[in-house]
Order: sequence, then C-alpha cells, then structure tokens
Amino acid sequence: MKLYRRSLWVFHLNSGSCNGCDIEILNALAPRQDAERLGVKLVGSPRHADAILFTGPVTREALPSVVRAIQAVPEPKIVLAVGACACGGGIWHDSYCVLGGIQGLYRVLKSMGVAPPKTIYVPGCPPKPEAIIHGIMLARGLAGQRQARSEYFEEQGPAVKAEEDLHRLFHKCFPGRLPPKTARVEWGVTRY
Amino acid sequence: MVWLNTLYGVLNACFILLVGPLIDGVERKIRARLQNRRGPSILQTWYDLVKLLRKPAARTGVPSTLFRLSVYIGFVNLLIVSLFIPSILCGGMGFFGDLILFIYLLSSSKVFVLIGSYSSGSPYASIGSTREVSLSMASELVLAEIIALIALSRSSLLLSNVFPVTAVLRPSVLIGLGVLGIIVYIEHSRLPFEIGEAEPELAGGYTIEYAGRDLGFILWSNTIRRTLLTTFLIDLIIPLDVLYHLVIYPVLLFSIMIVFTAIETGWGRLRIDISLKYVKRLSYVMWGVILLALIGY
Amino acid sequence: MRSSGINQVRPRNKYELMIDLRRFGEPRLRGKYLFLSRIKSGRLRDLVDYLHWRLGGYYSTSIGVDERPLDGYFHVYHVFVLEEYGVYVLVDLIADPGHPVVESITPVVPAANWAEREIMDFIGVKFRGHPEPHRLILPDDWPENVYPLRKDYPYDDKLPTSDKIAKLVRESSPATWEPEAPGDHTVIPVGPYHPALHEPEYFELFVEGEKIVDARYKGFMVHRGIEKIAESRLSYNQVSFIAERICGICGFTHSTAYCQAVEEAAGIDVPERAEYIRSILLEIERIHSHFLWMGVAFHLLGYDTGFMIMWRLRESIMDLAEELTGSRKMYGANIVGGIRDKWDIRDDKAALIKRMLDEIREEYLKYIPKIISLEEIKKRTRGVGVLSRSDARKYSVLGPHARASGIKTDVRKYRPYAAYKYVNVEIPVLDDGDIYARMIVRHEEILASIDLIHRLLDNIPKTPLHADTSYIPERRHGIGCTEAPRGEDLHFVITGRDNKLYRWRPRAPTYNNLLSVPAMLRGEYLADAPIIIASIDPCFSCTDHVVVVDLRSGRRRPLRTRGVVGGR
Repeated sequence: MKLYRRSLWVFHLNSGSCNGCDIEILNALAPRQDAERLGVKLVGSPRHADAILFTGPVTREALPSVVRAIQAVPEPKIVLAVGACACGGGIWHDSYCVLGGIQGLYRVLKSMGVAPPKTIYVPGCPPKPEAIIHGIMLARGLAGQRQARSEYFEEQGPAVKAEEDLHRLFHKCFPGRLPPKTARVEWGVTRY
Repeated sequence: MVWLNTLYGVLNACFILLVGPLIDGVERKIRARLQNRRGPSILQTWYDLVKLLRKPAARTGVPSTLFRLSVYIGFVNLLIVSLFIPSILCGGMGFFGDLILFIYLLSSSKVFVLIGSYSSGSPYASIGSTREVSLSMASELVLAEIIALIALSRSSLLLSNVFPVTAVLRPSVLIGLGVLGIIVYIEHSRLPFEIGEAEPELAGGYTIEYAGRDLGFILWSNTIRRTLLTTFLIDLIIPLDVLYHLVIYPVLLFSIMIVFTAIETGWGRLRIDISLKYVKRLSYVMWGVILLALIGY
Repeated sequence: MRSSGINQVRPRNKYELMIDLRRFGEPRLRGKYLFLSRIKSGRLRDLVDYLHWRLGGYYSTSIGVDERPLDGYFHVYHVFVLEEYGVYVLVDLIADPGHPVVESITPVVPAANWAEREIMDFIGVKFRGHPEPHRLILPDDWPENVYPLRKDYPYDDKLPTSDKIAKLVRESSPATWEPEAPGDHTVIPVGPYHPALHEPEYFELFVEGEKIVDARYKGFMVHRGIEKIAESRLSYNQVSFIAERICGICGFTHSTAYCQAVEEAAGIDVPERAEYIRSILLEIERIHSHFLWMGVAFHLLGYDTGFMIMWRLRESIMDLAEELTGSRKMYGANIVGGIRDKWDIRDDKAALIKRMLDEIREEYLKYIPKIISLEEIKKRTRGVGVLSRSDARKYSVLGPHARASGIKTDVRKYRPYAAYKYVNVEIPVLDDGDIYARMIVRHEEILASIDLIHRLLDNIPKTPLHADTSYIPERRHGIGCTEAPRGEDLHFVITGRDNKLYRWRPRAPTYNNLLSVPAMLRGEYLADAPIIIASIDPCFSCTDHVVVVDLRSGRRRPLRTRGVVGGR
C-alpha cells in the first residue's frame, strides 16, 4: 500500500497462539533483524496501528476480544497472518474450541457484515524472523510475492512414477514373475 | 520594524516545526546505534508523521469534541510560543510579559492534550494523564521558580531583555541554569521520567485513544515542545546575536538532544512516586537559589 | 484436631506406607506408583489430609477420565507427590455414569479447587461439597450437559455455528460490561491485549490512586482442546510434537515430560545417549527462556537497552539450537523411547557448541553485572512483589519463583530424570523473595546451565538413540516430570489401544505460580504491576489448556471481555 511505503506501525494480536510466533515477532525487532530500520514499529494500542500481526488459531474464548481489537484498528489496515495456526488453524484446525485460523475469523466477520481486510500469509511453525520481515515488506509493496497460491493434483507423483519404472525394469529382468510390493505414496495436496 | 519581527517570528516557527521531527529521527538513529542496532533513517519520524497526517482520524467511539479539539489547541499554543522565541533567527514577536506567556502556553499545551485524553474515559488514558499532570505540575513549578530567578537577575519580564542570562555571571544564575537543564530533560519526558506514555505499562498512556491525524498532531507537538524547551535553554546561554543564532544555535540544539538521548538509553523507567520525589528536591534547591539571588549572589 | 485415628508411627518406606494406607482403601504398588482404590466411605478427606498435611507430600493435580468403555465408570485420580518415599500416590475414585458424583477434597486441599472444577466441565463428574461448583473453562455459551472429554463426544464437533459466535461478539460489547469493584476502587483491566503480556490474558486490578488494593485473574483464552486432539486423532509419536506446541518457549520440556510418562507406563528404558541429548536440549531451552525473560523484564522496567542486549545474546542461543536441531524453536527431536536418529550430536558439533557457549558466556558476563547494578533497576525490583517463604509454601509455587523465596526445590536434583541422574545439578536459592531475587536466581541458572551443557557434552556415551517401542501395553498409568524453565512440569498418561493414548493430561508450572500473583500485587504500585506479573515468567498458553483461576472471590461471572480500547 502506497501510504505505508515508508512507515508501518504494527499491533501484535495473539488469538491463542503457543508463543512461538509471538517470540519470533519480537525477534524480528531485536538487534539482529532490527525491523525498526525499515520503519516498522510495534505499538501498544490498536488505534495507533496500520497493520496487525495476527498469531494463533483463534480460540472461542478469545474471539470477542480479537474481533474488537481488529475493529479498533483504523482503516486502511492490513492483516499479516503469522504462523501455521493463524494461516489455517495449524495442528488445531478441527478442534472443538478453535475457529481454525484467520479464515474462521473472517467467516465470523462476514456474518457480522464486516469486510475482511487485506491479508498476507506468513506460514511456518514458527516462521523465522526473516519470513516475518518479508511478509511486512510484501504488505508495503516493497517486496514481491515469492509464491502464489496454486492447487494441483498430481495423477502420478514422482514416487509412483519411480515405482513404475522399477516394475518395468523388474519385468525386463525377470519375465513372468510378480514384482515385490512396495509402499504406495499418495500425492495430491494443496500447496501454497 | 514590526513587520520584520513578524517575518522573523514566522521563519523561526517554520524552523521549529520542521526541525522537531528531524531531531527525533536523529535521536532514534543514535538510540538504535547505542543498542547495537542499525536503526531507522533519520527522516523516519517525518515519514511516520506524514503517514499519520494522511490517515483520517478514525471514529474512536469517543464522540466528545473536547477530545479532538484539545489536540489542536495544544498544537496552536506551541505554534504561538515558537513565534516569539528567538531560535534560528535572532528576533521574534516580543512584547511585554512574554516570559510569563511563554511558560503559560508551554504548560497549557500539554494540559489541554491531557484533559482531552482524560475525557476519553479509557482507564489507561486516565492513569497516563493523571501521572503526566502530576509530574508536569511539579516540574513546571520548578520552571516557574527558574523564570522568577531569571527575571530577578535581569530585572525584566521581556524575553529579549533576559536573553542571555549568562551576561550576569552569578552563582545563583549558574545553579539555576543547571537545574533548568535537568528540568528540560524531565519536561522532554525522557526515560526515566517518561511515565505518561509508558508503553509497556499503559499501552501508550494518554495517547492510547487517539488515531490517525490526531495522533500525528500529538506526536508533532511533542517534538516541537522538546525543541522549544531546548531552545529556551540555549537562548539563555548564547548571546542574542545574528551569527551566534545562525551557527552556534543549531549545533548546540543537536548536541544537547544527542547528549540527552545518550543519557536516556542507560536508564529504565522510574515509578511516579520516586520521580516526583526527585522533582520536589529540585524545587527545594531552587527556593534556596532564589534566596541566594535575593541577597545578591 | 481431626480425630481420624491416625497411627502415630510414621511409615519408613513405601512398603510400610502401602500397609499403612490399608486403613483407607485398597493400595496397590507398581514401581513408583501407589494406587489407592475403593476408598472406604467417608474416609477420603481423612486420607487426603493425611497425605497432604501430615506425610510431607503435596497435592499435585487431579485427572478425570472417562473409562466407561473399559469398566463402565468415570474415574477421578488425585495425584500426590511424596518425595520422601519416592512414590506418587494416585487416589482413584470411581463415579457411576448414571449419577456421577464423588466427594470433593477442596475443603481439605484448596489447591484442588480448579482441577476439580475442570473435571466438572470436561467429564461431567460432580463434586459433593465443593465450595464453588461453577463453570470454569468452557465458554459461557457452551451448552449444558455437553462434556468434551467424554469418549462419546467427537473432538471436531464445533459448537455452536459461526452465526451464534457473531451473536456472542455483539452481545459482549464493552458497554454491557460492569465491573464489580470491591468498595469504590477503580478497576484497571490488564489485558486481554496488553503490551506487558504478549498473550491474551486478563487481569483486573482494583486500585486506589496508584496503589493496588486487590487483583483478579481471568483467562482461559488459549484453550485449544489439545488433550482431546491427542486422544482422538494422534498416535503416540505424533503426540510428542503436539506436546511441543503446548508452549512456544518451553515446548521441549513438555514433549520430554510426555515421552517420559509414556516410557514409564510402558516400562521402556531409554538409552543413555538419548537421555544426554534430551538434557542438553532442555538446558539450551532453559538458557533461551531465561534470556527471554530477562529481556522482557528489562523492557517492562523501561530499560530497552537491556532488552536489546539480552535478545541479541539470545540470538546466539537460537543459532545453537538451529545448529543442533535444524530449527530455532520446536526442536522435534523427541519420540517415545528416545531421540530421532538425525538429531544425534556428532563430535564436531559438540566442539562447535562448546565454543559458541563460551562466547555467549563471555559476552553475557560482560554486560549483566553492569545491568543488574543499575540504580533504577534495583530501585524498582528490590523489595517489590515480595513473596515470603511461608506464602510460597502455601501457594506451593515452583521453579525459580520458589527458589527465590528460599525453597529448595528442583525436579532435576530431587527426582532426577534424563541425564540429570549422572551429573550434579547446582541450584541457586535466595531468601529475599522479591523480583530482584528472581532475577538473580535466573541469572545464576543461566551460568549453571552453560556449565551443565559442557559437562554433559564431555560425558556423552556411545549408545543407540532409541529403544524398541513396538509394544506399549494397554491401560497403564504413567507420570512424567521435568523441571521446565518455570518449574515442575507434570504429564499424566493412560495408554490405550491402536497406538493411541487413552488419556493425557499435562500440568504446567504457571498453574501453581499464578496463584501467588494477587498476594504479591496487593499493596504495590500500579506501575509495578506488569513487572510483578511478569516476574513469575507466566506462560499462559501452557496453563490455559487446563485451568482458569478466579483468584479472590472464586465467583464466576460471565466473562465478557473489556478491551484495551473503547474504555467502557
């Protein structure tokens, strides 16, 4: 966003994370990475913030205060979903008391009639401080996106192909004999 | 002559408005260097301010007019002060009694913001502003004592007459200048006396409910306030001369701010009761100094 | 005095203890575990009184288990640690599913309050005679008679739908929130989003001017249902990874405690080399956690330079962890029975680590004496947030917090596990009980841990890295204890079939330490509240999957959160 090219103040919002990502966020501000040199400042009040560093899978109990804190950040705002939990619920995605990351939160926001803000995903468990800084630069339009969301389903993954090659070789060497059984690897995942 | 003085005043005000955030940027750079960090660009405070001023002041759920208006009143107060304090140019819109107006406007600018913040009703804002008010009341008392001392030594209430106070070299004046240095440091609300915002304790204290443009003006006012106080200190030291003000003044301004920053990085935050105790002690010292001045030292 | 007909002769060892406990029920000794089942009617409170107050043991935690698929009953286990006898006494109570009620022990041992309420929430066993039988953990709109840890409740049943959640958000708008302050004091909320906490937690401070009159803790915002997930969809070795994600700071100690619990239950002997590697990683974790705490403490005292110095040093520890395990946090090294193969410490790595540790110590010793002798750091930490030795006993605080109050306690020394059996562990103990003492204890522990890693690396033996774990018997109980950076960390497991746990219950040290916070806050200045709360090194995400504490009154009000913003 052009407004934030030179200065971005962030508010850290923990929606029930394990602290791993939160500590890495602080690490990004510590001397080695020093995010302040890029004009990033961690602020204590959501009213001062331009962007939200969002961590955690959004627990049911934390939900009302999370929604309120997000609403308190003035427009235009950016949300950075930091960590596997915030991106998609992580290891807790289907637990009974977890909404399943930022998408679950946006479902609630939509049902309240609030349009979800611009969101940038920083996956990792926990993501390294470098990744968080890259996410911040992406938000400000100072860095390009490295990976795009793509969904693909491989009919024949490399492992399956390798197995078939092996079978062909086996048939060539020992015609008429059944090849030994090997474990089959299933492919077909959504990757970001 | 009147229009020339007005022009001087306006130019001085422009200088203060521009250089305040710049000094803050330099300080941030130096602080970062002292903390083993690379630190932001020295223009960073300006970048932050421009961003904040371009953002709309969001609806904060606090509908009071006082809440928003007070920020601008405080800002305008400081603007007026910068019109009649000689800074980069030696001159300004001086008039009789401006010494008293100076201290009045300087302290009221802060009080207005604090009242506005208090009206928001947020518990952090109210604690922050209560703390800030009690500290700045105490330190402004000392400031008033110093002004009394200065007026006494130069027997005038006109700013252009009292500057520089070093023209009369008396022990009381020298001690007074020393105390003024400490008070300026405290009024800058630097650590260990930065207790009104106290980010880790009060999440921004009295600024907590402000956003966007309002917040920008508060931060701008803070940098201007700091610069004005330091300017006052320098004016008392260097002669009221064009060359001195054009050359020595900026050098002194930056070096004082840098020294203050270096001191600041070595400190933690004091509790309000301990810091009030310090300021009270200073006030007692000043009463003694005034007595000293009365007997002619 | 209670006239329970107590035998005046104290049992001398665990066998005599077993015979002694026959007065109360049917004891059964299996290794370190003394099970006591079929408690005679009306004797439970006498038994608890005897164990907790007379035998020198202490109440650790309670676990509710739905064992209806196994024997048709709900079970409640109260765990007592008797260090003198080297046993854990597990008092096993059964509740009939038709009418699940057992007697409460809270009137005798107040520390059992939250554990029992937690069981009421999750299993649905009621406790007769409990002083405040209110809902504790689950959200307020959670339906009655739905108990998530019962075996017939699916782990992924998300109640209620998002529409209802939106309604919840709207209803709990700040305007409807009215604080109940005692008297006319101002209420200062600390949290749920407060820069001092870094986690969504909620303290309410009642203040008069700048003085704190009283404090309450309400939390439970990080309840993620970890126990149910582990029991439902994860295998033994997968649980060690989710255990690491209980907490992002002290995760490895949780995963070690879990593995130890399963190893205890299944009778697996861990090879020595794996024990050494576990200990080395645990000590690295302790150092990084203490550095982190120091940095945060200095930040809260307004001394940001100290924060920056500590976090710069901590980066080197993170490098070290990355060198050893491939990741800065979440080492992922533990499996049941040992350490994963690739996580071995080769000799060249050992030399590198030693060199890095020496550099870290040198740098650390260059800065820290100057920092802790700073005038305003001393002014704000000495004599602030004092917890006396007797109070520390009362709240049974753990870890560095207890050691700063003059209590000699350390699982590593008194109940050695992993490689602490083979080396001597020095534990610093101070008597002052203030924040400064806590800081010094942690400072000494950093140095002790660096020494310990050196000694461990010198003596590391050549053995395989993991034991054979092909057979894990069913329905065995195990307890694993580790000394986390914050104190004793206890994991309880019951093994199940199909390579899955039947029940797993972690208990983090912050659980105990949090209790002491209101006692420390009372009468202090508001400005000191963040550093006092932080001085116990609270880790809410560790604690919250199990407990919420309503400190003063114990009354449960509907938790409607008031944000930092909005202000009303």
